[in-house]
Amino acid sequence: MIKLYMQMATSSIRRAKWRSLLTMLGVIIGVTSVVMIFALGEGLKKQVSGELKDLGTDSIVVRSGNIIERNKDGKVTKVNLRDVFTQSVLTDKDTEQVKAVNGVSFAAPIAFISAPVANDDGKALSSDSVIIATTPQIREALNRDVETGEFFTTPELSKNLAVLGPDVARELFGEESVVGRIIKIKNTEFVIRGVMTRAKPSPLDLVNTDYNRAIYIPLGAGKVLNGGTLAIREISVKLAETNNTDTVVKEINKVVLVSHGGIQDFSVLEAKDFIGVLDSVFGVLTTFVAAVAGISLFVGGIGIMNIMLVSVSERTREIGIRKSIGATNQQILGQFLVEAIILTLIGGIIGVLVSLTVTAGLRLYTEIHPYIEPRVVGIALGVTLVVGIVFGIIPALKAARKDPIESLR
Amino acid sequence: MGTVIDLQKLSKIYGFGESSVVALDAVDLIVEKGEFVAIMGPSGSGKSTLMNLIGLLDRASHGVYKLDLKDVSKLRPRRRARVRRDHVGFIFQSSNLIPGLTVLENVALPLAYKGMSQTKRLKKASETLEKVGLKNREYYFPRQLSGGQAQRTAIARALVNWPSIVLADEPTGNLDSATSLQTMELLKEIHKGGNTILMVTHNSELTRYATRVIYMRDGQIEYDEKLKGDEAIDLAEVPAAVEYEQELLGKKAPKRKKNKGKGRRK
Repeated sequence: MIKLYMQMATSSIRRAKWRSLLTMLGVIIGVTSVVMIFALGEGLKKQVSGELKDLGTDSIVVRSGNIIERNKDGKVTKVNLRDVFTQSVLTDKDTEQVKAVNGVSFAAPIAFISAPVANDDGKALSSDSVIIATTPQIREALNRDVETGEFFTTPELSKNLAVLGPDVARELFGEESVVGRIIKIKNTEFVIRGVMTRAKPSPLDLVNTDYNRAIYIPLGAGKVLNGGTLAIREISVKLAETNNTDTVVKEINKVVLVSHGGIQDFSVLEAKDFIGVLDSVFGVLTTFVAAVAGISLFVGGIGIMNIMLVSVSERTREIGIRKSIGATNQQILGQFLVEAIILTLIGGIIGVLVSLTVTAGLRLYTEIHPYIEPRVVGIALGVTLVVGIVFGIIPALKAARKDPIESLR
Repeated sequence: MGTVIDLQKLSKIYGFGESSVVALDAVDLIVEKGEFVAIMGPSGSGKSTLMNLIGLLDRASHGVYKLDLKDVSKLRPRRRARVRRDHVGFIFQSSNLIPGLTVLENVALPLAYKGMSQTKRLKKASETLEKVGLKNREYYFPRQLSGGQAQRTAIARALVNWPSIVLADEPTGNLDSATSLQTMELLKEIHKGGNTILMVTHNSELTRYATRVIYMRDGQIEYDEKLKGDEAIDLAEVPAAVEYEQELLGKKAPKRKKNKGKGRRK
């Protein structure tokens, strides 16, 4: 019988192509938005975790604020997003202690300074660049190197030297070979020592720092510039080996905890913790937006129901004929229910196809790389099926209950 | 020959209490296999109700209806639909074909509801269409057919499942006289092929094809006679029809008299 219902449904849908398409539009939009939201979220997550992997599993970061809570095995159990934005409590002493921990090969503090920057002619730098006060080990800790010139050294930590990200050099001087020239930070002159290698663009730039637009200055010089004190945002750490990360993380935590008087007002994060943090951020976001998209799917379902109700009353005579030649109520119900389900399912499939096309387009022409999980497609089509059944049942019942004699009149 | 339809004190009452209307009033009727019964009578006499009950589109309020000797008067809707599908063929005044289906698919539809496979049912439908002379119109859509062709398609659809009875409700009501004649000739042929036919008609000329005439009034069968040969019935010989005619005239007559009276007074 199902086969018969499907034949009837397809012929009826084919007969009213435009109306069917318009009916499906709600479902198409709903499914597309649900799938795209998940695809964008998943794509961003993949890109970010890919970059974190590039950064290496031997990278660790010590940050202010109790961002994550761990259980005994070192697994993240809770993420405190609020603590990401707390005031910095890390000190130079922490950096030195971390550096001394067994298994740590490099550790560099990172402090952000916001100050106006200009070239020697007084041409100002746009505000979306960042000044990082740090130590020479930052190169190893972040896996970055200088392209031209060289980085400042430890004895030079109080000198007014600067190493520019390539984009900063370009913006200020129109070229990247600018070693030896002068920039002004807060009207203080800094001599350019080197220019960094270009870093790959990253979606993390949105939430973090674009290192191509960074200006590195020595920590001591930064302190003077900032009026004597400087809050260390994080300590970037490079491990000697990758196979004992957890042990080193625990050790660093222990050492810093002691110097902070036993208060866990900082976090030691490894790459996989970042992924955990991102997961929880994206998770919340994705769920919220998907709920909104789900509503549009619901509205699409109402559209289907609406048109099916119209269709049932339009086809009253047909229903009467079918009953008079021996269709049972159940068979009429089946026909209209299957029609509604097929209508929504086609809408769902078109929605998935649209999502695939949009995804392909975004991947080809933009930096955004959405990723459609097969699971999401399955869920979307499953939900569509449910929508079809839920919103198809009322019109189908109405059709089935029609009195044949009345319908034929 | 066996009894196909056996109605015992069959009644249909619409509505409840004081507002109820008796559409069919304890009708007894036996139709044998192979009969061609013409049912006549004025509008509201209960012809359609009788057809609906016999066709199992409706359920009687009281009484017993035996179809092929089986009591079908108390069946649940689903069973009724199945009996309708397997034992009854309907021909309506308008052909009532489904516009989105081809002629062949329309004819095959009763078999589809039976669960017959597509190839099998289309083959059967094709055979039936050949019988009504529409083999070359199989893949036409109803809108591409003439009135007579559409009605022949409807007849094919009614015959496709070899029904025990064919119910025709004014089958020529929407047709011109030439196509009416063709359609009636087709029904006659079908009758000759052994089918039992019940036909409602307002046209007493058409009774020449029937073997029996029933005249109804006020939900009761007033006249029930067998016909010989090709002769049509003369309504003047049916007392109930004459009575009805006189009543109609009688209602008009006083008005005329009144007018005449006025005229005389002037």
